[in-house]
Amino acid sequence: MKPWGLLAQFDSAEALLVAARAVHAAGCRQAEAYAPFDVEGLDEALGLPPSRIPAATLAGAVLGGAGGYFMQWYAAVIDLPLNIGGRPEHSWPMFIPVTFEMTILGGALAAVLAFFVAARLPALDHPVFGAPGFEQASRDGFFLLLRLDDPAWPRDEAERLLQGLSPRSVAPVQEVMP
Amino acid sequence: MSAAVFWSAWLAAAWWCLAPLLGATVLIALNRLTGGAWGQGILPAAQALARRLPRVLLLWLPLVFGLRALYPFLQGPDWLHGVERPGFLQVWFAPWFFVARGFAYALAAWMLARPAALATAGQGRAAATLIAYLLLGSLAAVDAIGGLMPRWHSSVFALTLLAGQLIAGIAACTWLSLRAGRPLPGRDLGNLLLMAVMLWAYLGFMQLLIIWAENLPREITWYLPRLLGGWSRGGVALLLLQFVLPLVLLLFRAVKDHPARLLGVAGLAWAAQLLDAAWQTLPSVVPASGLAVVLVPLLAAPMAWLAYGGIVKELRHGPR
Repeated sequence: MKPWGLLAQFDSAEALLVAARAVHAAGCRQAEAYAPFDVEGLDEALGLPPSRIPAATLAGAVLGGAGGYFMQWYAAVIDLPLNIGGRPEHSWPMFIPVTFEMTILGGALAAVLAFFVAARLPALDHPVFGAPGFEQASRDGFFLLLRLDDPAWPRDEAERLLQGLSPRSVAPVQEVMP
Repeated sequence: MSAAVFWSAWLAAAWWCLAPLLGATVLIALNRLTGGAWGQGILPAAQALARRLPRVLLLWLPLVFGLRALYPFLQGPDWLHGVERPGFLQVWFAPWFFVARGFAYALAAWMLARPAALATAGQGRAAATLIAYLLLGSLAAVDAIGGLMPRWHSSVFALTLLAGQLIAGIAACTWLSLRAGRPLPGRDLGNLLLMAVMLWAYLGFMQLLIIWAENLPREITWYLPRLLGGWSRGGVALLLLQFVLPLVLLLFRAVKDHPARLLGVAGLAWAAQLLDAAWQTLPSVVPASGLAVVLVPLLAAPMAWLAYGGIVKELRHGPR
């Protein structure tokens, strides 16, 4: 059976970065990379479009902050105005800590949510899960996956390209059978 | 012009001139301790700043003539009126002790920022430098700026001023290095400056929040001249120029990765430090004086030129 993709394992984040650049330079636009931590510059190396997570985070943070401030202002000025030690009802310094916390909460929730949407999680199954040793991607493994469903990329050419990048191993990934 | 107007403007300008030098010393010691690519780029600028300590101390020397005009405890015993237990204040702010401390701080700064000490310091010495800076720098800040209102105290006050010195150090090192055309890890330095700006805002706001919440007469004396009258606009300007604007700009990699833009933000943060110095100093002494506000930049510009003039050229061509 024709494999769905080829999975190459590399020894270090630097080697993965070099490989990602080489694969991108060779014209492959179907590569995916897996690493146990954030590798600076990996998304640029793969030529991924800029992430929309920062924008979603900012929107969530602004919404959370504005909502938090409004909640306190409404409670203290409109709904239940109380004279506390002669301070003005709109006692803004006292509103800042909660506003700050709500900003962080809104930003964090939006970031996680946007990440799940962008990564199409939760994924109950994916072809790459079946590849031997792939669980190392969450420990100390650095993987580069070339999908073979790109008709412009015959399998032997992809394999030659990966082997030329001195990986630790290259293994075929089979498509999941429904 | 009264002596208080002139000398408070002098104090603000001199404080502003001292800040980048002490901040740079802290950065050198920090980099010795932790390493990091950010240090390699700015180390020459930081060392050039630290080498100018004798000139900066000379700028502080004339203040000896202005002490009586600035500090209430040098004007007679009236300032202790109504204090329940004046014992400690009396001893701490005894004129001879106060002046002696001033010279001790200068001596300590001399020891810490000596070029030879900074160039060859090992990790132990770097750690000792940071500890000494935190302790003596705090005391010096409380004496020089806090002493303008000697009956007011806040335990976070000194740290807000030291955070300002950190901003000044990072901003000045970045600005000078970029002006000299040195390649810098802009993203790292931008993030470092962002951290310092947030630290300053956090500490400054915590002081305001606690004093606002307690609302005690002896504590709000610091904020009354700053939140009422013309200085309230100065506070808003300070918040915008030294927190909001750098914070928003430094969030963008397009700013941090672009030397000319980073130069602009560093210049802004460094200049905003002068407003900070004026805001910390003038309202305590001459809250209603517009002349003092004008005088601060007029004094600060030649002082900065005397203290730090020629560093960019030195960084381009190496020390003479």
